[in-house]
Amino acid sequence: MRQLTHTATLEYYDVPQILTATDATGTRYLCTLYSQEADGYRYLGVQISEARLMAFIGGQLDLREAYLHPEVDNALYIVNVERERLTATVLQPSEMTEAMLPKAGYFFDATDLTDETNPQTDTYQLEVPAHDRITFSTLISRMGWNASSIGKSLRKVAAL
Amino acid sequence: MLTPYKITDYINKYKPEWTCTMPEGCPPDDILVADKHPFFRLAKQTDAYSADDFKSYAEADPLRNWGSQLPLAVGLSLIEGEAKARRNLKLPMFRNYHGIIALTLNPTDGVTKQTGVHHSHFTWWRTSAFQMSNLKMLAL
Repeated sequence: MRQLTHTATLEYYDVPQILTATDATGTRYLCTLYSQEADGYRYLGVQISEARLMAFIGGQLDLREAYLHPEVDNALYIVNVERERLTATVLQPSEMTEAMLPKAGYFFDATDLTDETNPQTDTYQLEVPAHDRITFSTLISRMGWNASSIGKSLRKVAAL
Repeated sequence: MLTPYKITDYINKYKPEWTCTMPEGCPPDDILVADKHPFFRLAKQTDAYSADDFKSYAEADPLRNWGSQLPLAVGLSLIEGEAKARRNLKLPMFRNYHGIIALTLNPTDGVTKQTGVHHSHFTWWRTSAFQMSNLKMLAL
């Protein structure tokens, strides 16, 4: 069993439905709620690379696929959340049931995120040539990055 | 339409009778009052709604220690946008939900506030004046 740290809630309905977390080594987990028990909420967790997580947030990855086809072996976990405490226990693929899985076709919508939403991010300052602005904007959209902050950056770049 | 209100002004004007005992500071001070505003909520059945569909997590599990989450647990989630509601039905926690309720809220029905990470998600603190007789089930 390992302790995880909550990094962001990606979907909320009555309680957090999808969240991200990290462990002590910095490995990222994508967790989807599947059950409410007396001792906490059960999430199906999968270790996930930053690139794949960004693909999910950008609406390019079906949530179900993240669990059915993890990037590495032994990537599945049951994550129990009781108040602010997250604990992860290894789950063998053969133990994963249909009831734990999202249905096919859940693609995350980042266009509707509030400005306060702050999934774990790093901040970079980029100088984008004016002739690459459209390509860059498309990339930003596909990756689900924060459009308002990027928009401000683009306006700054345009002013250069 | 959603109109910003201070909760004290709302209470003075509408004298709400909440469906449960509200924790301190709940509903929050800055709320939105709906006037003929459409929302969507997930339902257990395809073609009918019931009182269970309007039961908050705190009502369903009153012995749980909700901690700082209690103000949200005594409210109900609402979604602004049918497509978003349909997408949520794909999540495993809603495997036993098979319908979507379309409801139109009015000022006496309670107060709302945008919560969670999406602009389209609202928490609704309901009053007993809300009537379940004027709801519509969407075809899936």
